[in-house]
Amino acid sequence: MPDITHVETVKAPVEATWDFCKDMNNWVQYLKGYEKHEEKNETDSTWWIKGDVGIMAKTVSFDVHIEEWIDNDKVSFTMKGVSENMSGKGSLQVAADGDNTKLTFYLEIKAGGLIGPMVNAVLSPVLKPIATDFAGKLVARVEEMQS
Amino acid sequence: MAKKPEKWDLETDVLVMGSGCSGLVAAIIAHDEGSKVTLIEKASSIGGATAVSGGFPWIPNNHLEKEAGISDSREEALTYMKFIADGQVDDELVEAFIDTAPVMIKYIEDKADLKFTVSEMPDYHDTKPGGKSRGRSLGPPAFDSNLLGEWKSRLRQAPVVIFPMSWDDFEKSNAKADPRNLDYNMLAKNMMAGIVGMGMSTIGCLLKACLDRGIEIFVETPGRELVTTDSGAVIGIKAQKDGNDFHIKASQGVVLASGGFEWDENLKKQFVPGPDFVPLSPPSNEGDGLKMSMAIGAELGNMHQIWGVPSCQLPNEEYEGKPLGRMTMGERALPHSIMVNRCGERFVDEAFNYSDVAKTFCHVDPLAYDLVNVPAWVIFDQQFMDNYMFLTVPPGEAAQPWMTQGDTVEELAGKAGIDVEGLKDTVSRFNGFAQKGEDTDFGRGSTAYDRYQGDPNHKPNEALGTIEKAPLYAVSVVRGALGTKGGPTTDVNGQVKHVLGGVIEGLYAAGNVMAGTSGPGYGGAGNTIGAGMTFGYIAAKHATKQPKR
Repeated sequence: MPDITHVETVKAPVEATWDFCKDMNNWVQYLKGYEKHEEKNETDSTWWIKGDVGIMAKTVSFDVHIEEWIDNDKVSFTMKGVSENMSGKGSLQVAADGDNTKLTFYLEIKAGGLIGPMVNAVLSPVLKPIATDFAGKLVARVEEMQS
Repeated sequence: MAKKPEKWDLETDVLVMGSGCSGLVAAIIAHDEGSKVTLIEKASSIGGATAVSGGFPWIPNNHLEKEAGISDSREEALTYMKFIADGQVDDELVEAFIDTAPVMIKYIEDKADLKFTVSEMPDYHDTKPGGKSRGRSLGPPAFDSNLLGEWKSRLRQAPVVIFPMSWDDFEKSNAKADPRNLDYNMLAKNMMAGIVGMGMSTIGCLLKACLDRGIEIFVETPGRELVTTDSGAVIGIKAQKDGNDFHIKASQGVVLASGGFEWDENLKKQFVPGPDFVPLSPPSNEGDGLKMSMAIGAELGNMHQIWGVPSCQLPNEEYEGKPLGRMTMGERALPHSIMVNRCGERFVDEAFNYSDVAKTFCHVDPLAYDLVNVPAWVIFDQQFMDNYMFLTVPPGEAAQPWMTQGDTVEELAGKAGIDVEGLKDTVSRFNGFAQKGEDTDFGRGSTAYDRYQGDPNHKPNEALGTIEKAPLYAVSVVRGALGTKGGPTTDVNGQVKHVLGGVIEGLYAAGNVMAGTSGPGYGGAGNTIGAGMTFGYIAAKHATKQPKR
């Protein structure tokens, strides 16, 4: 199953980092290929992401459900393709690291169905650049807000 | 045309423009004949339209047929090819193709280590004189792209599923009718290990042969203008590299192998009649070689013809920034589907070869001054969904939002915008054909080709099945093209002809950039690749015999 864990140090206190990360509306647009999102309620939303896997690009919509918020610690979510046979989950976790914050981003996406293994083989190599790009933008934004 | 520069940026003997099968074969042959060769490619990756195809060459009277005990002959091949060309191609050009193709493919097998297997695929008009029910379409092997070293990342990736396995294994699995016959975990492992198949394999093998020979290759280097002498002979090219002009001297000749013009809207409008079409090739196929040859007076031919294919475009899919077109094969040919126009009427043997089926999109009602088969739909039922793959949806998986659904023919027709009574009559009549196993309207399932594309386990006819199990589905189908097939005309040496007579010394063309040797027709799977490789071979052989200018 394609997944990636990416860790960054944020030059900002954990409280400020959490304050930003706790609200999905603050960071979802930093996902590579983000086109739009619509909130249904406090925990559910739909994301439209244009995924570019090198061989082709396709906009896929996901129903996203926030699984848990743990104050000053973690927000985690699940994803399910609206019409595509894909599912996944992810999380943003913060931890104090002196005056800074250790930010851990986790993302897992899995294609199901008959040809799922081949789709997953295509997805695997693109997750790392997606995670690096996302976390980098998020960190830059938090640090910018602190300066 | 460009002026001769004060100083050339690079000097070579034979310059090849384009890295599909035609260009790579031309480069290999020119090298092996003793010339210094340089190849330039506009895109950032190698392979052109070949890489996104099945990778078959169609080679009549080839040595692999003989080894397999399949009878074929020069005479049969000529008879068939002249029928396909329909009098629109000089006989001597057809003969050059028929006579050289078997020699070329043997050479490539022996010297470029690209080993094909005989496919079971019938010619596209297998029932016509000289047509064959198998043997002329040659399937590529699997290829380990790691053998390309640092060029591995430059191998063009196909945007649709091209299975990382040999054609022989794919064909024997019968996965084209039932994709459940394949082991997708094994295929995923192959993919991750760098194994490629079909068009990517054909290109991979040919690219490796070029790299092994030390042939100089530049990517992201589009050709812009030809450089000529005062007498009109081509002596080089003005290309662009890193945003700057890049002049390359070619002392023995320039081989244009840059593909068709299907992505140039202006050229399409000027030359290709009928409804607009969706290109299925890489978007870099913008007619560069055609424009360059036109600028120095090339004679043009076959400009109104395309390698057509009924195609679909699914929402939100792109290839290199352009809408992705997907060809239809089993969607039209397997049981439990038909194709209809807005009147709800069938208009063709849907299972027949895609190029000739696509021509039916051009039928005009003169009184209405209207294209009668545009728009069109594939109509199918839950039996199809349960058993076969429809574009991206494997058998037994959920329908997609781009499929219009209805529980009855009436409901489906109403939702899709098809004449209700027309579709009811058509489905009822077709179901009768399916039950009897004989389509007396269009002969679907009556040829070896139709049956090959059908389901061998479906009886009484491999290509006919009822449309009755709800829900029923409709998906829009449009005219598509693997590429255009018009361009500068050539003589039997691959030399481009001048519009005022004679040839343009030093200029050659091969593949979809040239006026196609099959005219309006399509001989069999791989006709475009077989002819392209053959004229790449012919052009290189001739160019390398020329004195250096």
